[in-house]
Amino acid sequence: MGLFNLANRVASKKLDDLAREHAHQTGRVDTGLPFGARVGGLIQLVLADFALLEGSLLYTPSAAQQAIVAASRLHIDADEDLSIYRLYTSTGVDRDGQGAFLQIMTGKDRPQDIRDLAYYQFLFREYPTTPEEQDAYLGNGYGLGADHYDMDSDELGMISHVAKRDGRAQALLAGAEAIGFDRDAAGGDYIRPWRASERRIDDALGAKGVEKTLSFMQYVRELPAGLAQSTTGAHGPIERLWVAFEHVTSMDGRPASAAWVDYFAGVAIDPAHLKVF
Amino acid sequence: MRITRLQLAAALTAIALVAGGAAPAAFAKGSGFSGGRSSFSSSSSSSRSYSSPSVSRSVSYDASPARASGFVSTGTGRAAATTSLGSTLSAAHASRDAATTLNARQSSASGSSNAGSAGSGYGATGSYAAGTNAPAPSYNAPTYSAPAPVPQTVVVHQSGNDGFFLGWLLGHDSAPRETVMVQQATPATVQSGPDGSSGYQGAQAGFNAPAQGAAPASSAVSGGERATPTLQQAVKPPGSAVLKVVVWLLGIGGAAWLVVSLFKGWAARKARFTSKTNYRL
Repeated sequence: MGLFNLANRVASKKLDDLAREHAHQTGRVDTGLPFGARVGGLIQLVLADFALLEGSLLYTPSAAQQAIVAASRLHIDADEDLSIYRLYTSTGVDRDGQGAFLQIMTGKDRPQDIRDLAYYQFLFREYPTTPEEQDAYLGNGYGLGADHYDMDSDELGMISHVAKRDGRAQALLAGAEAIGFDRDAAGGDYIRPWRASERRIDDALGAKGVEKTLSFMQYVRELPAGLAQSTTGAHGPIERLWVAFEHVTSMDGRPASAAWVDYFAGVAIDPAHLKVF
Repeated sequence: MRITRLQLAAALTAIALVAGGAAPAAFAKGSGFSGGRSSFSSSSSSSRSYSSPSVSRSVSYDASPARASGFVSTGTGRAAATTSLGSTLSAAHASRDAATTLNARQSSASGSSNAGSAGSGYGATGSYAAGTNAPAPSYNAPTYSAPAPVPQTVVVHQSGNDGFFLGWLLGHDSAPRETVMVQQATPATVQSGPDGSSGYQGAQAGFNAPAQGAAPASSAVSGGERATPTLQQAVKPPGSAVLKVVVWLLGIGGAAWLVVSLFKGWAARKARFTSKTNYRL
């Protein structure tokens, strides 16, 4: 390396350090979240809430404390004032969304008023490539939005944590041909899927993230009563199935078009069993 | 036109819904969506920008009619909002649909031309009014009147060594001038060197003004030689002053350019470390 090049590199390094000190840094944008959560914080769940579920599609998380790696908000097209937030404990490989999140619905402008709290885990993903395949999820009178959904053994085999365990799929089916879910909304045989847009931030400054639109519907089923419910005669817990046709429009501030259908399983969480640090 | 199984299924669904769900089972078995995966006719799932570690659905066309999985309209009306999330979302969408319907009826009653678009609902993934090209703004280009002809002073350097222009501008005062030719529109006094005719013609080739002043200039050639030393002394100050101004302007411009370049470089360097907020909740 010549002397000139060396001097050039030293000067450039000094100037870079000086520029880094004087560069304008934007403030955090992960403010106003429920429970005072922030990206990089921690949430603590009660693992027993998952371990005691009978015949559920959910798996018990590996640790009670999980880091919040991302946060997002769902803007429902029908009501912009609805406050539905997601605290992601995992965004998947390459932040593709195949992870898990805690979904919180609060009162309008009242983050302390928790209306709904549930934890969702990714099951599997589909890629409808033709217009006919996509029409089933976009409110064309059939498909997503029907009042019932059946998940058969083929789909159960696509769930990674089910496929890894031999006989797990058959155990979940319990002799039936499919696992049945009922739509979590009234309105007859078919209603058009709900539409929303999600803006997810993957860091505290909002520099990295994803923006996408969703056409989704939630289905539910009652799980077999566990030990706690059987002794008191209460019904089993409700398992949720979140089906969403997602269209990614941008990622990290750059246009990035992608589309898929994601299936998430979820279960309601008692706010008293949740801690956010 | 080729009718796919999906289109047939859609038609059957429409018939079933109109008939009040008379054959939900038939729909479930005959339609693609009761068969779940048979509804997708693509033979392969295209990879997207995000790779999935889990098994992506292998989309294949299945001719078997009876499949238990998939979306099914049972016709029993047993679906109901079980969770608070479901009830809140369904209430919000139901109220929005009701408001949309009411607006559409009011628009159609008033005879608005936009009634048709009010009821688009969820079907469209996003429709935007076609952009209309705004009329190109018309403006009158400014017109400039030709400046009045001004006397032109032309100095022709006959030296064989051109050198750098700036150096020549700076050094011409001290260097002995070999040939100076001054041409003015009116009156014209032409000075020529030893090879006067060629110098005069050289100056005349590049400018129109000398051509205009050629006639009176030529008549004044004979009388101009006696005034050559005087004219030299008279021409020298204006030319050097102009050159000095030009030099100063160039110097100031260069300094300004240098300062602007430095600021731009510094701003670009800072921009590399400046965080940018792309998304807000």
